[in-house]
Amino acid sequence: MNNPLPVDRFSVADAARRTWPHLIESMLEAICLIEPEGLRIVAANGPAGRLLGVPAAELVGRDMHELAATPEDECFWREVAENTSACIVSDSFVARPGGIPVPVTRRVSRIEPAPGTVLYVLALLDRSAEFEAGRSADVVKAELQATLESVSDGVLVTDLAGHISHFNRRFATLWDLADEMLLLRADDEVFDWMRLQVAEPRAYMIRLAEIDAETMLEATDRFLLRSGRLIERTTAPQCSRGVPIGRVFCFRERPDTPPRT
Amino acid sequence: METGLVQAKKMGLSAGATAVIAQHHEHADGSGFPAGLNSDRMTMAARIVALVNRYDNLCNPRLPARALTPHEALSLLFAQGRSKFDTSILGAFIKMMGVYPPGSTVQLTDDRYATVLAVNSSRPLKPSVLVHDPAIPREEALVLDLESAVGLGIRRSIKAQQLPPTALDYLAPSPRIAYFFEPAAALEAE
Repeated sequence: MNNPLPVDRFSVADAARRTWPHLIESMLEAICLIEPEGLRIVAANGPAGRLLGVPAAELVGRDMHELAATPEDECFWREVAENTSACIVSDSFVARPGGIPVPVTRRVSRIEPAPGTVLYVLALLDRSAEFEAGRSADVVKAELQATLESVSDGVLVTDLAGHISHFNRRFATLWDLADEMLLLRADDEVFDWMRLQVAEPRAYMIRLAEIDAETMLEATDRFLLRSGRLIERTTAPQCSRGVPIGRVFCFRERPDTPPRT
Repeated sequence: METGLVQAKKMGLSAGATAVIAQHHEHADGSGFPAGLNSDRMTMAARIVALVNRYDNLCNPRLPARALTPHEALSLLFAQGRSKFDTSILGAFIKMMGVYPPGSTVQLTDDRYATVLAVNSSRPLKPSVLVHDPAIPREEALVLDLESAVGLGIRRSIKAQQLPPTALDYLAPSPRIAYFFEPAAALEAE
């Protein structure tokens, strides 16, 4: 009773051709089954055909060496042929006819559906939307960063707890921040340095405390630095969808700065 | 292109160098420009520069945020370029660069981040990597030969700036200004 059913490799291969197409057709992923001797596709589902841009039936018989669209895939299938690799999971590309690349996550697994019988299962997930969204987000982020670094004001952003989130290069120049201060995230050192630069530190700190106490306060103040430069500071809450998430300070050297002595 | 050729003439460049300038946007299958030359009518040097120029443009585009990793650029060149570039030159280029060029930042199949240190020419998918492990000091960082690490591989290549800050400091330690909106790799001369 406990003996396994006698299944020979030919009946499994036959089953692969007759039964498994129905099984893999029910899957959402693009799936191809590959026989180990010639590394040729023996079954492919509809999503695989759509992803690769050819009818699934036309994928049957295709050689994986020829289908490999990246050096990584080509290398992997060569290793499979040499019995030095059996599985892989990584981000890659497939090529549609005409060399149109499609980013995918690709997994190849080696299965033994019956003793002595081996098949490789190629599963592909289309990564186009994620790939393009990631690249678009990178572009938007880079543009925003470049904009904040290009404005003529020194910009300082703090979070609700008063910690520095970011500042731009102009801020560092305006306040003569030392290189060591830029390389360490030491907020207290930056704040201490700013306090030491103003001509009237006590008044400066009292005003900062007032600003700090009013999350939604918008204010413009002027103060002198010890160097004689006149600075205008404009501050407003940093809001995300109407909710305060921090505070933005803009510093600008006024043209009516008293002449330096 | 024409400006380049005029400059080449003014500079008295050799015929070979001038041909490279004239042909480095041509494709092996004749689909390039300006003359639509195929591989047979391009000089060897122009075929090499056409490939390297395309690779460089993928890794260092005008908009840096659209840059591909070296691994992605090689994959894309291979996927779309087998007809566009001289196959033997493309093959030699990929052999030279490796599937994951040294210096590439990668994520392993167990989700750890790593930097590729050296290509394994007999097993290109299994290079040596330096692995980010917060529990190990950077000076004693684990160097892993993926060929001997059973079940472990590279899942994807990523741009260094996509690494979490702690992993970035660990894998690519260089003076970095933490506060700027646009990260700077080092202090730049203003």
